[in-house]
This record gives sequence, structure tokens and C-alpha cells, in this order.
Amino acid sequence: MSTTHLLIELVLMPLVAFVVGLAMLLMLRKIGARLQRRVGPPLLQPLFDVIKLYSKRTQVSHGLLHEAGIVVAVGAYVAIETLVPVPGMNGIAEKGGLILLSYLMMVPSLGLALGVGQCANPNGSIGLSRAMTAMLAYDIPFMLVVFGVAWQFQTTNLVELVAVQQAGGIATWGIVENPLLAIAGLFGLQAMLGKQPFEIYVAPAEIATGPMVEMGGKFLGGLFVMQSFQFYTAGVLYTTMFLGGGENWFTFLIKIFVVVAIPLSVAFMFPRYRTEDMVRLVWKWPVILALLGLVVAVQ
Amino acid sequence: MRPENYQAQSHPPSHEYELNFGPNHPGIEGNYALQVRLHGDTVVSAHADGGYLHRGFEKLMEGRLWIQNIALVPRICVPDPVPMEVCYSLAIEDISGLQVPERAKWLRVLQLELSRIAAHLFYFGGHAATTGMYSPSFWGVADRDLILDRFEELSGGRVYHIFNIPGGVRRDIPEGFLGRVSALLDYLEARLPEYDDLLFRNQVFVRRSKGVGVIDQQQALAWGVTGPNLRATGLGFDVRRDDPYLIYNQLDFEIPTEDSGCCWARTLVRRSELQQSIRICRQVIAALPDIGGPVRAPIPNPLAWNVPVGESYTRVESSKGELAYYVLSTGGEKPYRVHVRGPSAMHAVQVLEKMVTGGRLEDVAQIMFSLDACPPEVDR
Repeated sequence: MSTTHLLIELVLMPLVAFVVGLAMLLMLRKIGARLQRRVGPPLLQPLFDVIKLYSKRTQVSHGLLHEAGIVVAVGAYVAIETLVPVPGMNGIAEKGGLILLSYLMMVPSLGLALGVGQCANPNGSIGLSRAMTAMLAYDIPFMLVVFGVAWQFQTTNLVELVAVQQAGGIATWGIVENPLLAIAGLFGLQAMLGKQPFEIYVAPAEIATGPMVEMGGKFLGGLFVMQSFQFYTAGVLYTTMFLGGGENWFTFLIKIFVVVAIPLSVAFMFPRYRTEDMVRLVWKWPVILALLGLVVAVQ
Repeated sequence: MRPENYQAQSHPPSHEYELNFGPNHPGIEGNYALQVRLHGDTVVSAHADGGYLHRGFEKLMEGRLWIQNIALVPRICVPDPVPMEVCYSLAIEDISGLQVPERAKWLRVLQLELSRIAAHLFYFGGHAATTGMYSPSFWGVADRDLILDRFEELSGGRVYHIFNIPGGVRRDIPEGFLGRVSALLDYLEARLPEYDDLLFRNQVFVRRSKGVGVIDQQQALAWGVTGPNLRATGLGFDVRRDDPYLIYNQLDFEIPTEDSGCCWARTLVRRSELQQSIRICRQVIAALPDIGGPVRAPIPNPLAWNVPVGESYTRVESSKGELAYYVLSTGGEKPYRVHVRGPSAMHAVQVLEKMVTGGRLEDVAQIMFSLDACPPEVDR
């Protein structure tokens, strides 16, 4: 691959992720609207929201770390997007792999922690501590799932992972080969996206949206962009591990939208757990399922 | 407060911190604040901070004609305005000895129960939202809107109906109104299983609300708790049955109770009450065609009406609890004194402060909303 080609891919991959992520945000709102018997927003509303937030005249900064934290959070996702293979573009996915990706996926939360920490708002701090607790909770089943998939396919390379599944057809997809890991992965996905019943760190009625409480204008816009990346990444990663990746853009988009639609739909039907209940639940069933899946993978 | 106006204050080192719930907060139906002091996730103390909706209703009423106050009283409880109109009117009728026509009494009950249903639908959504579940809010508000449609048809006003006046109601129901209300009740009854599936049988919601914000019967009585909040402690006291007004003694309905006195019990009581209100409405709809006659007793020129000297303490059962009006007339064109005993005055201040203390941060908003307080009743 020529350097120019690689550079084009490195620019295109995050760009595609952003656009698809915005469409996923629209899907989130549309699903919510349908379940709540509303019409929902128009097609371009997520894009208008981003433009509106970035063009706000009031931009209250609480200091360097507040600004840097958001850059770290969004930047980490931009880096992540170049590490997940999509149809026709592998970016630098060959150089990365599941382990690196697992580490990188923690960085946005840490960036958020940096930014929120400097705001010195108790609501933000409580939200942050809850977000870190949630990360600690879902990372255990998530890492077990990652190890299970890696063992199952004898590789941590995402490009190889996709190639193996596509070569063998549906019968070799992760979800068919090891459904236990796939179910545990869905649990982890729900918690990772911070959606109900695991939405403990936003909690508007308790802590006034927690980490977002001091965010406005471009800062909130940054979080908005981060969320669109987050949805996309979660969908792509799950599709790559369990649904054979994308043969072409059509099937790929269908897969990732379906994957993300599941936790988003579930979210509108539940309240949020208390923090300890969330940890208890995530450390129980997903971990048990993931461990069983790991045993299946090892055998 | 804008950042440039913020001035840091130094405090002695402490593991405790303060959080403000309100004055704009989803935990309560209006502007009201609860200042909470916490240690970790545990509430150490709480201070109810009202006054944000103070418009001086009671004082305003002293300066307005008797009839003018009809437009003022519904504003004391926006989600459930009909009991305000009816209770105020009952007090004036008591003082002036007005005999309300039978048909007007039945029409008042129909409105009271429709208003109760609307208030409870609002409550379900609000309670669920405090635990992070927003779908019931949209459902509740949408279904409540259908009731408001009927109120609009009846009175011209969706939220403030100003339909009940001393002596009866302003006018008779429009043609086909009862049929439309009946269809609405059919729809609401059909929707209840969906609410059950989404909310009342939702295990996460049950886990969040069961055993939270508990109050026992003795405490409830000592603190002046009334209405569904009292009935959630196992005491089936309801003004409609125990001190009947209008035509409630002619109606067949039950008073649902729960024993645990927690947020879950308070919601369940209201859910059962909603069914009972539908039952009452159906009885009214069945009876009304056979009850003829006027809907309003003749009253003197309302713009120059000197209500006779006297006083009256009248109470009704609103969706929040026991609502009472103390009205004192010195024979003038305006009331000498009107005192509103809103149930929320107890629930949102002394009860809320005590109930929240010792609880968890996660449960504060839920406890606030579970009491179904109406801030203007506190700030009256």
C-alpha cells in the first residue's frame, strides 16, 4: 500500500466513522421517539446539533485540562477508527489488534476524567467516579470476551479475524462458533455505551448529567462527536468479532446498525440501576457467560 | 450563577458536601429546591427550600371578587386543578347556603375523577423519569393530553378550566360528550396493561423503588401525610369515602391501600386509584343521562356579590391528598381570608426532609417525586 493511499484511508476512516456515528445518533433518537410515541427529529438534526454547539458564542473553559481532556477523548476515538478494519479500508489495523484496541478504548473515559476533574463541580466529580466504576465493571467481561475471541480464532489481528470469518462463511462467525461470548459481549456493549439500565454516570435527575454538567458549546459538541464515534466503534468492533466483519459496505452498515440498535432499544425500556447493582450485575452474568465462552473457546 | 460572579469560599476540611436538587428539577412538579448535605452517597441532612413559585395566592384572593378567584385557584396545583375550583366553590356555597343542582354535582365528580386520572398519568411518568426511565413520561403526558382534549371541549381551557363556580358549573356538557369520554376511558383502560409491562412489572424499576423512602403509618399520621401517600402505609383514609361530598356516597368504589409505605407502594396505590377513578367515571356516565335539571343554582350578580358573613372549612380528596379551603367572609364583595390547606405543604417540607435524610443520593429525586408534591401548594 502506498503512503498516499494509507494517508487517504487514515483521513477517510474517522470521517466515515463520524458520519455513520451521527446516523447512529439519529437512529437512537428515532428508536426512542417510536417507543415513546413521538415523531422524533429530522434527518440532519444530529449534524445541526454539532454545528450549533461548535458555533455557540459562550464557551466557558475551566482551564487547560478541561480543554485537553475533550481533545484526548475525541482524539483517542479518531485513533481507534484507524485501527478497526472496514470494507475496502484497513488503515493501520494490521499494526494494531484487539489488545491495543482494548487499551485505547479506555482512553476516552480517562480524557473525560481529566476534563471533568478540572471543572470542580461535585455533580461532575460524582458522575466521573461513577463512570470510572462503570468502566471497571464492564472492562472485566469485555476483556474476557476479547481473550475468548482471540483464543477462538487464534489471532488478535482484526484483519485476520475478519478474513477467517469471511472465508468460512456464516458457520465460522464468532456468534455461531461461540454464542456465549457473543451474548456476554452484548451485555458489555450495553454497559460500555452507558445506556440504561447501566446509565449511572449521566443520571440527570440525580447528578444533573454528571460529567456533562459543566460542558457547553464546543465542549459539549466534543462530547457529542465522541458519542457518535463511540456508537460506531462499538458496532464495528462487535461486528468484527462476531458477525464476520463487512463483506461490502451494504452488509457492513446493516450489521453495525443492527448491533447498535439492540442496546439502544433496550435502553428506552429500563430505568438505571444503582451503582452497586450495576457492578453486581455486570460482574455476575456477563462474566459467567464470558468465562463459559472462554472454556468453550479453549476446548 | 455566571462564572465571573463566582467567588470561592473556604470551608473547614470536611468529607461532606452539598448538592442542590432544584429549583428546576425533574424530581418535582414545579420550581422547588431541596438542599442536600451528603457524606459519600449518604444524605446527612436535607433542607427544603420553597418560595420560588410564591405569588401570594391567599393574599391575592383577599383583594379580588369572590367570582374572580375562580380563575386564580386552579393555579395552585397545575397538574390537578379541578379540586381547587370545586373546594373553593364548596366553601362559598356552604357559607351562602347555595343548593347545588344534582346534575352539577355529578358533573363535578366527573371532572374531579378525570383530573385525578390525568394527574396520576403525569405522576407515573415523572416517577419513572427520576429513575432514568423516560418512556413512561412521554406515554403519560400523551395520554393525559387526551383527557385535556375533553376538558378543552367542556370548558375551553386545557389546563385551567375555570368551569366550576359557586352554585354549580358554568354550562352543561356538549352533545355527545359522554360518549367521547367513555371512548377515552376504554382507551385508557386498554393502555393500562402496557403501562404494567413497561413500568409496574419492570424489575429494574421495582428494584429501584421498593423499600426506598419508607414511612410507617404512625409517622405518616404524625407528620400530616394524607392521600395516596398515607394510603401507601396501609391506612385507607379517603375524604371521598370518610367525609363524603358531592355525590361520592352514591358511588361504588374501593380505596386501594398498600402496606410498605415506600416509593413503590406510593406508585402502586396511584395505579390502582386510576382504575377506581375510571370506575367512578363510568358510573357517572351511566347515571348522567337520567339526571336532568339545571347545572347552576342562581347566584346574585357575581360582580357585586356580597357573600353572607360566615366561615367554612371544606375539604376534598385531590390526587395529592386532602385539600382543604378555609374561607372567611365578613359580608363583603371579597373574601376576608382564604387559607389553602394543600397536602403538598406537608409532603414537600417536613415529610420530604425527614424521608430523604439517611437515604442515598440515587434515591433523592425519586423520593421527592414519589410524594407527588405541588410546589405552589407550599408557596401559596
